[in-house]
Amino acid sequence: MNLNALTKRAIAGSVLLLCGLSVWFYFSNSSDPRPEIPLPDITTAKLNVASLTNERYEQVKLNPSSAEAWGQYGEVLMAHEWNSEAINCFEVASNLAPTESRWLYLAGVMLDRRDPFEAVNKYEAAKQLDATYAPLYLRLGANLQRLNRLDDAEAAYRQAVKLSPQEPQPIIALARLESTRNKWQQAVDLLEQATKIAPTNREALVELTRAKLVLGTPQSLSRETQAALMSGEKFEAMPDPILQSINNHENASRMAAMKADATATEGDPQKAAEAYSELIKQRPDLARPRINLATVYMSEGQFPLAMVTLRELVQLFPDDPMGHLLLSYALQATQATTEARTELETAIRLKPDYADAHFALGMAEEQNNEIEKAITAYRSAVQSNARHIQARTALGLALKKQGKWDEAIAELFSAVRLSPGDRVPQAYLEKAIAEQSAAKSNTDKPTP
Amino acid sequence: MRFVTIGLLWTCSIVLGCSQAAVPSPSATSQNATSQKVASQKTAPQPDRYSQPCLVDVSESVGIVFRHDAGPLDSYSMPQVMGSGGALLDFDNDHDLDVLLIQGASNNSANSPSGLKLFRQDTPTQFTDVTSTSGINSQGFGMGCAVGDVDNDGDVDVYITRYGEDSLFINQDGGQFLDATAASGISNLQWGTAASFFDYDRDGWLDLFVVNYVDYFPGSICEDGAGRRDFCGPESLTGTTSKLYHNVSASSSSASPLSASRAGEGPKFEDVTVASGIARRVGKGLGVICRDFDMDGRQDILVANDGAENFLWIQHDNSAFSNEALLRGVALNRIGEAEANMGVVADDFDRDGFSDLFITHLREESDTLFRGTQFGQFADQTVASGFGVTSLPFTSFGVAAVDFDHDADLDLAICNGGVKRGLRTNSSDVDDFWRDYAQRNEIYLNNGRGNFVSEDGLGGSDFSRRVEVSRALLSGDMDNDGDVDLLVTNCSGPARLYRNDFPKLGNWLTITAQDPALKRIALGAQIQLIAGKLVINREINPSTGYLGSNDPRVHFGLGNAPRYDAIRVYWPSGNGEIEEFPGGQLNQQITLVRGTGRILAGGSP
Repeated sequence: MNLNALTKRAIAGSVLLLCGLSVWFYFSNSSDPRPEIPLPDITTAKLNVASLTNERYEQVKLNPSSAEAWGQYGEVLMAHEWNSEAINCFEVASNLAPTESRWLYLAGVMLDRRDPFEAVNKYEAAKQLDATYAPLYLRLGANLQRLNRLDDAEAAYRQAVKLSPQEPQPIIALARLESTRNKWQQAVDLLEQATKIAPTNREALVELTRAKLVLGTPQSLSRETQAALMSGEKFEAMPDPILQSINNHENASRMAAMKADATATEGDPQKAAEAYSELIKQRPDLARPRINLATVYMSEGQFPLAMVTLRELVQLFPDDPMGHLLLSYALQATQATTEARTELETAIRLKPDYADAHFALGMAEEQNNEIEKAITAYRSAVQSNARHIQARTALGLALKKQGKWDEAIAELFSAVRLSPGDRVPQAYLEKAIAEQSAAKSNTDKPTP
Repeated sequence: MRFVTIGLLWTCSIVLGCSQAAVPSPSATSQNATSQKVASQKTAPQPDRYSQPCLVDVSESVGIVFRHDAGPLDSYSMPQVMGSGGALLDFDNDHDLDVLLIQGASNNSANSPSGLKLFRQDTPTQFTDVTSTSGINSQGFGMGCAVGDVDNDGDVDVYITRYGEDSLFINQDGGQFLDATAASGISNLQWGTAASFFDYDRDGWLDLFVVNYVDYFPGSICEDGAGRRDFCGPESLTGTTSKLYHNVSASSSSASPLSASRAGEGPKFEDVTVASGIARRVGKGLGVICRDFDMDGRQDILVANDGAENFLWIQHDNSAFSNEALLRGVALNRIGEAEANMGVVADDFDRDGFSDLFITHLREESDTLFRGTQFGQFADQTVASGFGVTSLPFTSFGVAAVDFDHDADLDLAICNGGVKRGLRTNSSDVDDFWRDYAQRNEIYLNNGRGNFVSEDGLGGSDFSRRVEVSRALLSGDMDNDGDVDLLVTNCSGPARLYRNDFPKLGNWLTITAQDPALKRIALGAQIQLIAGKLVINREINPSTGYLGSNDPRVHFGLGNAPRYDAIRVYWPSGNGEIEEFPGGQLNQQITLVRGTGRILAGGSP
């Protein structure tokens, strides 16, 4: 074909234009990620949660290339359990800030348990960027162990030990891994190391005891070990500053509740009352802040204030038995005994296994000298909670009043068994045994 | 020029093609995609090897029509999401299994159409609702039950647990039950969940262990992370103690287990929770298995605690119990974490002679397989057994260990359903409210060495096709055809009876072990069946799984063994008696009667 010059120029120009457009398109797309910003369904969320979430979403919209914006949005989503959306955000943040390990780590945390394969990938990538964060290695090791990659898990745990030699958790994890491999002596050696670092760490004490048991090593259990075996407390987790910082994003009411509880624990009732009152304003839909406020008032003897709060509580939450029980205490303190009893009966009707309510009813019956009715109530308390020491003790004493010595002593003995360090039931038991002996001696004495 | 043009065009086309992949975007790690990815990574996707459904829903066709009522759902009351269970039992002694289904929130009177139901099996294809004449009724939110002959009069009695006071119903004769709770001395006001009859002191009278859950306050408001109302979980609630009731019927009358039943007298129980040591620990119990875990001849108790350490109450000489779960490796998983712990089964999955444990958990926790080793120790072998990631997407409750295909190894059936909002399904099997909680069920087939593979299709089985909020899973040979069928209960949904239509790969044998002196099945008896090189051990205990009681007969799949050579029974009498029965033909049901075999060890009582 013989093209004239004009045609040739037109073809060449078109080709060049096409290539130019292609190149421009490629580079513009590669520099602008334009991923879709995930937005969970916040229409049914609490107002403050929705507002916070929306605020962070808008920040991302304004700054779609900001890793920090994406990451902080992800943290809010994480705090409110929008898990898949949080993972998305952390992944985008890590793409935008490829030298920042935090986002990869958080993505790994979110994937822990949900997808151990992917969690391992995230942790591996994060440690390439920051090889000094010990909690990362602990989590990596746990996921590798979940995938049965025991040698890799061991390497991860060892690195965690190296980075945090004063924390017992990585050593314990390593010991547990060795026990999985049936290397019990190695496990014992590691656990003894852990107990030297943290002599009262429950997890270390328990695992050490078990490992020695499997090895058949005779051992006498220290008091700390016995307590560790008996206690149901959760094992202490390794400190994780990154996750602790996330907790600051939890919704405002949770933080306020924690703050109020903390203030109450510190023993400043005035401040605690203020904190709970503030929380009630923020969250009028919750019963717990009112219950706690009333408890604070009652502990200070301010029963009229307590009664106002509690009356409001039972009006707003008529099906909450605790409100009725607390109101009965306040009424009893102000001598309104009939109304107090009605509230107690309501509490029991709402929650038939409410041991404290049965116990309170028993005390009320005893005050009225209705000992048999008190016994019935105390029995109900004990059937509702076998470990209610006060109810068992009261039951024993009431049975004693009725001359039912054997039953009384059995109940007091049970109270002592359940609470061996408590002198009160012990003293009552000893007295009851002595009184029973005396009573028997009197009946055995021949009449003159 | 031509070549330059062609080269430029080629370059442009390549550049255009690559530009589609150049945009970094979030991976498709949505929850759904995660589940699919995890599921696909377990093994290469298995084609469905079954050409016809293996588990077929026959509920309506046989007359088992029951719908669980969870009550008004806008209250998000915690008992509602825990579901209710049931029992497979032969209450009329006609040698076939009848069905008891516990109701949740409705008025549970016998005459209420939506209350608790007792179905009598007339034929394998016909069940009749006999609730109104049975005498069994209840108030409060029904949970689970235990079945056993507590008065040794030859018929089974029933204990029903509740959120509310539990009840003991004594079978008078042929299915007429009497509420004997008050007279029996049993009073459990706490939230009872699982229960089991067992003879812990080996005096011939069945004792009762009741697992209690949490101290739940009605009206409690719980929320998810976004502040939406949701069901409460156990994490924010206090635990409670389980209860041990000692059957003192022997000492409360002149009768002994060896004499005729005492007409007109009800059984008596004494609460020995404190004296036995059980009260020393507070738990959040949902599952229980009573079994001799340390093989010392005494019954022990495993309690599965929700979100907390499990308990393994080991019985010592003086009928006292101590919790040794931490020391024996069953309190926590291999990472040292407490898991949800709902349903539990115990059996010898790898046929090494030691009892193993399988416990079901929440979504994002893999169900756990603890292999038993010598001296009553256990090791978490979840991942090595094939459960590492496959069970992560599911919240699992009921579980049954069954040899579905008679290839001589125990398979696992698991029924699932969420307790917190999860991935919403479009399932038409549930009402709109439950679509955030509904999940499908699972079957895992054992490869003979205690390693399991998930079978998803099962030929299009109803069992794995349905997406519901399932809770209890009961197992038993409902139609007496030699294989084990399944019955599933669902939250706010119908109970479903699934007939076992698995293609069979071998022979079978079903055994009932009867003690004529006690006039009942010998709960706690250990059965050892020998067929050539096959040696299979089982223990008689119908109270396993979640909130349910199963077929008390023991079923064996035997592969291609042509016959069985011998059966040894370790009777739970406390005198170490082992009795051997001669071999025989397979593919039948047999009853072993104590005293009719050859004594190998121990003496007669």
